[in-house]
Amino acid sequence: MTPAPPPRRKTLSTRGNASVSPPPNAPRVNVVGIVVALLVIGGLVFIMARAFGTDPHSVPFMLKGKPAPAFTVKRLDQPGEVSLAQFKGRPVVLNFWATWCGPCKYEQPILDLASQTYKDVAFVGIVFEDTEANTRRYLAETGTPYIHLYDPKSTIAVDFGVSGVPETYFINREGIIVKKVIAPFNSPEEFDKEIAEILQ
Amino acid sequence: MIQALLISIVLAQGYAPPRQGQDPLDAEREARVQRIGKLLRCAVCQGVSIADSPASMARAQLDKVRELVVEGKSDDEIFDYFVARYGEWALMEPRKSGVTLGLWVGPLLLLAIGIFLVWMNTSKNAAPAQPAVVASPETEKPAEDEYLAKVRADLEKQ
Amino acid sequence: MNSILGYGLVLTGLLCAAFAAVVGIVTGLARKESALPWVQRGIYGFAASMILSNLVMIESLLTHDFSVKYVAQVGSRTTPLIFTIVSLWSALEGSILFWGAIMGTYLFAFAFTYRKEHGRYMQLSLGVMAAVATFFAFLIAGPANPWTAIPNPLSDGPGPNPLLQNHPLMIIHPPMLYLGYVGMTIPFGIAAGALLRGELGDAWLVPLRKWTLVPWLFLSVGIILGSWWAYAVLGWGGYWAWDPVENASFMPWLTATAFMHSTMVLEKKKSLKLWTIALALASFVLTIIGTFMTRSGVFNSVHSFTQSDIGPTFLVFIGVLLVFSALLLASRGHMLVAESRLGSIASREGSILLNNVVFTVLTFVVLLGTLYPLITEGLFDKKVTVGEPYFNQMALPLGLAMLFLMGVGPMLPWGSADPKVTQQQAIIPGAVGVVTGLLSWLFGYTSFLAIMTFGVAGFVVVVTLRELFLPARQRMNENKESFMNALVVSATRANRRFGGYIVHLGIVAIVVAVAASSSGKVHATGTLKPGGEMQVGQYKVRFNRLEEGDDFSNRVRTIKVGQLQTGMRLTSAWKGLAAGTVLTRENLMTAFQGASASEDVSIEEPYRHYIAATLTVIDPSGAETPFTARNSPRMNFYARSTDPIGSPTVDERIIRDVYVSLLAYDQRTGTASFNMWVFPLVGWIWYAIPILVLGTLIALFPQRKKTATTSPAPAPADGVPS
Repeated sequence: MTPAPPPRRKTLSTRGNASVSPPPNAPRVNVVGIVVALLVIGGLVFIMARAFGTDPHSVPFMLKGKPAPAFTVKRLDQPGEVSLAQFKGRPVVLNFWATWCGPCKYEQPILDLASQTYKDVAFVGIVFEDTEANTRRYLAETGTPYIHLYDPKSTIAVDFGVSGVPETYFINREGIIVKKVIAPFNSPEEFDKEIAEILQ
Repeated sequence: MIQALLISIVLAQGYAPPRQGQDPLDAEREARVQRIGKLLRCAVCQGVSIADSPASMARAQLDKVRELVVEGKSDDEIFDYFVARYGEWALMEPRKSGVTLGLWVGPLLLLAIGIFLVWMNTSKNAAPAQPAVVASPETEKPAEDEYLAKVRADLEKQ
Repeated sequence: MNSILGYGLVLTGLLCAAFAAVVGIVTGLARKESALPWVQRGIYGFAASMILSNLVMIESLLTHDFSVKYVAQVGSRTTPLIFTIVSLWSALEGSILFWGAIMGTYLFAFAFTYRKEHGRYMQLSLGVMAAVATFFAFLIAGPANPWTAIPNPLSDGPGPNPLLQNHPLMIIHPPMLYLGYVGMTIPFGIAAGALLRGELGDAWLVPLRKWTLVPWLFLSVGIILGSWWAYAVLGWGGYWAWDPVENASFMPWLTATAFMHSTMVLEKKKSLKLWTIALALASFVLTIIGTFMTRSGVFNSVHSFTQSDIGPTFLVFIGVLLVFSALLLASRGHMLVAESRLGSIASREGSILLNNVVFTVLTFVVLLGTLYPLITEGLFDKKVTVGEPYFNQMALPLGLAMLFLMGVGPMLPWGSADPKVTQQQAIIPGAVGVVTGLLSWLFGYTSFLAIMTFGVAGFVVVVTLRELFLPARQRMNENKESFMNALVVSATRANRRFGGYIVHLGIVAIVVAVAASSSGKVHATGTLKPGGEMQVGQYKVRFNRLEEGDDFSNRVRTIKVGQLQTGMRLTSAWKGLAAGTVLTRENLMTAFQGASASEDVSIEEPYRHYIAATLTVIDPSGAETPFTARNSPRMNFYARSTDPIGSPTVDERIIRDVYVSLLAYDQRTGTASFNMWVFPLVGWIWYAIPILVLGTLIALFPQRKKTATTSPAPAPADGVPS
């Protein structure tokens, strides 16, 4: 049997039922509670504040320092195949691009120029998620000083861990991926800075 | 006329053409592909798995899973292939170890604390059975329907 | 002009809100009740200026005033009329402005409803609400100002985000969610006001409950419509992906639901006060955290707005809110003392307590899972994904526990239960549950969780129906009333209870639909040639052919002949071309012969191009349902997006949906690749909306204060006070 409740007023003010009211000298403010709450709040706000400036859409890249995955595909410009292995001993710049990608077209002249500057380096363009017809038409219009390959099933892209275009992979003479740059290059100087590492 | 041509070009080009994927494997292996695909995150999308995403790249990644399944790789080897490229980010289901352990333990801990608190705050000495209807001499509007309470009382008499 | 007017109104709103906040809180704490009218005036002023500012924005959108920054950002002359209005909330600045209008409406409604009541709480409550309003008005006036004037406006804009133009649900889903989010300001204000005043009487409880129920309903409807939209538009065959934005709306819903239940214990047992108040505060804080998640650009989400600089402002606000709430609870907690002991765990209050534990844990799961990628990246510099499999594994058992409690709770009396009575009561529902589970197994469901869900659902439905109808039956027996009469009287006498159980039935419908569609779905994928067929479950889908074309905006414009472009469509005959002709290079060349450049022609413009794979769905019986290019799966191409936006076909039936989305096509070979699913019962997720609305409305219906004098049946049962 629940004890009959005491007569009730419409307003429940500070009066409590004698049987369950706190000890008379209970602290009026729960200090421990406040400290814990402030710590939790501080942590929460800190975590969210740290996230500012980071790009939530950026995708981690773990192949840095690992051997570049091998591939062999047919060339677009002439009969025959190209495989990564044939550039062994030379640094390789691997650029993933597409005709529907504005920034890729924007950085194209910079890569074209660089391929003339760094004669020792093998420049390879790989077309990502595009049709062969589009690619051929585009290349016929603009011309290109280096090889472009068509990756019909995006197998190379999957192997390299591509997360969008444009992406440029820098591979050293030993066939190790030194880094990947995901933004388009804005100037030849920017490119020069990035390539320095694979030239030694 | 230059303008007139422009509009049709804008509509006809400048889009990523959707590419067709590989045909599914036989039912049993395809089920495995789809199950694994559900657990891997699409590299170019926004937090969807490669089995769910309509993006072409996701289809290419799913094709890779098919390829690895055909090669006879184990589930773990397939996951490792993607983790090697994208890190643990590629796993839709975080691991039950390392930094993501908290995800699995935290809620269980809270659940335990919650149940403990409820247990502590409800009375243990099971009061003798009594019909609920008498228990609340409420004078305010009834939250409980009086007829229902009566039904309960009737039931008890049986 | 518009931008000056609109911005002026925002500033007026900001001033009014700040005035109401300061006056309300200062005089409220000083207990000078005479200042209340001034607080009310401030609130009314805020409401009026915000609503007017929104009207000016709609006017600017409709008249294509591209000198207003927001219009330049989302407006376009080719967008259909309705989506032009919708673009008010299609991007960040506009959505916050719209938020302001809703906030104004809510505050006005609350202040006006209680203009003569609850004087002791009103100043503080209104003051707190006005403080929240001040923050939003500040956002609109500063970091998210849509009204910036553009000195040299362009003549056209890009149009709203294509995803928002793809489906009519986008017209109603965001306003519903906003009504849910913003509405939580009211219970927050009431609770905070009562805590500040230090008087926590029963008087605040009724408004607190009612004004939580209203946003709760909007939130529920908004969430369901959102999932419907995702299902009907995104084409991946799902309706819920545990995306940060979905989670953001789900968390306050969970805490508000928990609140609705713990408030019953509070009312009945005068216990759980601190907890109930904390839930009311948390529901609001979680809506703000949710808004932050959607709009800060910090979270990776399909729905999120682009990165913006309102994030830090929001984060500061979140910090202030959390600290304020924590301090309030800690400093007033001693006033929230239970007045009676709770009964045993096997009692109504015991089940509600467990319900609250489950809801809290689920809220924590959602919050933790959403924040965890930020935590690992912030602390360990490691990116991880917390995806659907995690949330499902955690949430499904918890959901099953909730479902179970939904059946057990109503069966148990307050205080403590007699095991014998409880057992007796459980026999029929339990038996029905077992039968339902077995039946689902016979129907081919193999997942343990699904079979359990069906079984428990059967149990809950029987318990709930008994609770709904037994009082009426008792009346029929005793008073010889007709069934309808008895039902209506018993429902109006305990309308909260009655409405609550109807809502329960709606929730059961949703849970069953979720379980059936996720564990009973059939999937097929592959590439078809024109005329080819694919089997999915018991259905066959035939691919007819690829069709290409343009969709027109249905907004007729009159332009000069010199401005004609290919792709436009004539809306009246001109130069031998019939109305409806799409202009091509050829017919335009011919028509130009001898036309004067200043002649007027009325046309409409395409707003998207499409490639559709028309299909026919073939039932097991052989009946064929053909789909036109309009509602076949297709890819829509918008000028503003580089990726085509796919839209699936949903052949919707009461018991199952056939769902087909176009993955890819090849115009050279005419082939198309599809993803196809059959989802049993999935539609019941959205068909449950009317049930939820009905139940909530019944529960909200004003209670008759003197039942005895108004009841048509003045013969209450013996000894029961009425």
